[in-house]
Amino acid sequence: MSEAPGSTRYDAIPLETERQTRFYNENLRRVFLLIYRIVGNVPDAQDLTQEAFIKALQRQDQLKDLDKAAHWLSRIASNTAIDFLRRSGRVSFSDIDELVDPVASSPHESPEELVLRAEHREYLENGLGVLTDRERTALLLRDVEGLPAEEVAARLNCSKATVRSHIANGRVKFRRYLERRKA
Amino acid sequence: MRSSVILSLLGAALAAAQTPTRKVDFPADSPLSLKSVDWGDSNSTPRGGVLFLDVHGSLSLVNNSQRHVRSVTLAVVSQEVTPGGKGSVTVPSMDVAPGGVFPVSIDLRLLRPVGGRNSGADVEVRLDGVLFDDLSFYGQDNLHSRRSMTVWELEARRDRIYLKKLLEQSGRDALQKEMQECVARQTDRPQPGVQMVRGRATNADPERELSFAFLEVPDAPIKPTTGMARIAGNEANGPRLDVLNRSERPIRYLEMGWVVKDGSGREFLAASMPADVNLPPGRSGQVIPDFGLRLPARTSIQSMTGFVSTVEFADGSYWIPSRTALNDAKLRHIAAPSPEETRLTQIYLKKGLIGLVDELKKF
Amino acid sequence: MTGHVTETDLALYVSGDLTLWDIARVRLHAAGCDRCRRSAEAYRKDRTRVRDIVAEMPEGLDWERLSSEMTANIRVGLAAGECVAPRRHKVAGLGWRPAAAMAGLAVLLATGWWLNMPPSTTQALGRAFSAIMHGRGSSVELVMEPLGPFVEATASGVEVRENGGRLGVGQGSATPVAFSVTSQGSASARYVNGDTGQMTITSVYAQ
Repeated sequence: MSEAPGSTRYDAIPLETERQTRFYNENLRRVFLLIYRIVGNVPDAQDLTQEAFIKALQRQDQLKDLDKAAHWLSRIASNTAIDFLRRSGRVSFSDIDELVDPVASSPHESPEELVLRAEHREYLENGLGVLTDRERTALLLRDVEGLPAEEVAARLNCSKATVRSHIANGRVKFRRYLERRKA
Repeated sequence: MRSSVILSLLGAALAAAQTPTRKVDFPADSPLSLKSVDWGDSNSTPRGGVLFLDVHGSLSLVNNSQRHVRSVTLAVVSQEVTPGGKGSVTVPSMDVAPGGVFPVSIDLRLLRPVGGRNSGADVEVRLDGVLFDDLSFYGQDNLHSRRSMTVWELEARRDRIYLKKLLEQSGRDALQKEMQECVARQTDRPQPGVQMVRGRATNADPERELSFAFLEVPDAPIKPTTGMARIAGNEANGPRLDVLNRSERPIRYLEMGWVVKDGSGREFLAASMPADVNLPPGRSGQVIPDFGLRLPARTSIQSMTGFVSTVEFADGSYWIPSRTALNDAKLRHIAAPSPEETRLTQIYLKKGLIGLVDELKKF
Repeated sequence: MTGHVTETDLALYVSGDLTLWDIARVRLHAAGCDRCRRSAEAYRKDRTRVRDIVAEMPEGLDWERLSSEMTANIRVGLAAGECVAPRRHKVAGLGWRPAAAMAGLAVLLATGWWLNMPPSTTQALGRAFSAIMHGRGSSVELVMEPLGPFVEATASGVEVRENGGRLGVGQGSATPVAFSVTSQGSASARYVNGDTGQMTITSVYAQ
């Protein structure tokens, strides 16, 4: 497919107003972090964040009401990340994992490493790391994005009962992990 | 002598039709599951180094999701790489509620080299795509089923709205008249056989260049400006089309209908030309599909007309012709009715106007 | 554990994800049970902890550089008018080789070309030449099939064919109400169930 010669390309993200530009800058970080926490690595999170913003910015009409736009953008972002997990075969949101001891799920960490680790953030991050992709995704949508369980179920395309199990398992595992660390 | 007896016995055993092994392989998180399957008289027949697989299946699928299923596409694969190894079955224009069960029929003949197999089965049935009532999609989309099913669903909504409005505003007589025209459209629409080949077809007749005329479709975001193909007897090769994006949004896909008028004055839709494009607003571009079209022998191509049938914007939204545009006499006679119009026409034929009105009330 | 609320119920209680009856049950129990009340409080605090973790950048990540890179890529993506997606198909990228053109009888006699033709074609040509040479009939209709696989759509159904053979066939029990071919090498036939009106579209692919 060829284009007519002399075509010019955009040299800026085509946002109509300063307000929209500010909206973009503020939400870029938030969306990236949400996607990063779902997929678990920076390169994929970068690609998917770009994809989500391109999808969103091509719908300029949706950016006119910035109050609603943030929620709509989050939806695009989480759907993009969830679709990625599905395509890569990493996750089936309809399966419910058995609740296992979270420490036993992290066999790569020796007790000595646990003792030496001083950073609170890393310690908490590892707590998220012991969850399965589906538990973590459900938890992020419920507790960070603040979506009601029904909407989480719709985004994950599974039943509300399944989503509640993912959320419950995720919270229980995280709690048990923290209790083990304290011990 | 002994080895030739053994070989002939083996040959006899292989020559007998066998039941091909089948596998229905849906992902673990699939919104649909298989309730039952009846493979009927499916069989396989070896010929030389090739195995012909006749696949006749009646599947019952369950909607395990929380949404209504509008359409599903199954890929039926004996092997991926060489021609004849795969087919697909799509059931459009459904409305399957959560927990609902619906049938899908498969009637395909595929082939594969003797010895080559998909993960242990002669034939594998995979879920290429599921379209829900909110137009969300699940599936691998290897066969571009997302696009085709979305377009069919949009056509279905368009046609139902049109018929319901016709009933509300003009009454039953008007609806009856419209349905009679739909029946006529389906039965009278000329459809000669056609072949489509990569590159160019093989006619040795001298070629001449023939320009496309274009049907103006109101509100179409794409305007075809010029086009031509090389014609030799019953074949058309090397079409080239110039198109303009006259919308304000970038376009990533378009589909053109190719209408042919033959020597006897008969006009019919010969082929569809889909093209992935990258067309910013206001820009022109060329579509140069590498194929040849071949009509029945002794069919001469007198003229060609193109029209825009589908556009996909870069944001994933679609344009399809409105019902008003389709009421243009020429398009109505030539373009295939939507799957939903076909379904509603069949209901009208079976159950009359009352049955049709009851069906329209469900949406 | 008897007499206490389950961990699962406590975990769901703190975000109101239980039924109204269960919420009331847990609340009533926790009011009189230190252990369950402390557990519920811990789960409540965990929700805040999760929000705090997620708001932090991964350690060692240079956000300024990454955000600049993403902004540049988004800009390019918008200009290109397409999403940064893992899978795209373009007609031009399929690399179909154009079939060789037949220029005339003189070319037909070129030995190398003859030997490279599909067998069904050589047979048809052979019969034609034989008829001409032996004077059988003044005209011979050559039914030349295209080189390479092709799709065909007719009232009998849809097929993939090559070298005179049928490679793949899509065929319902009834006559299709419509059929079509596309320039991407597929052919489809539409069948209608006479009772329900439900349509089934069967397709075959040359590639």
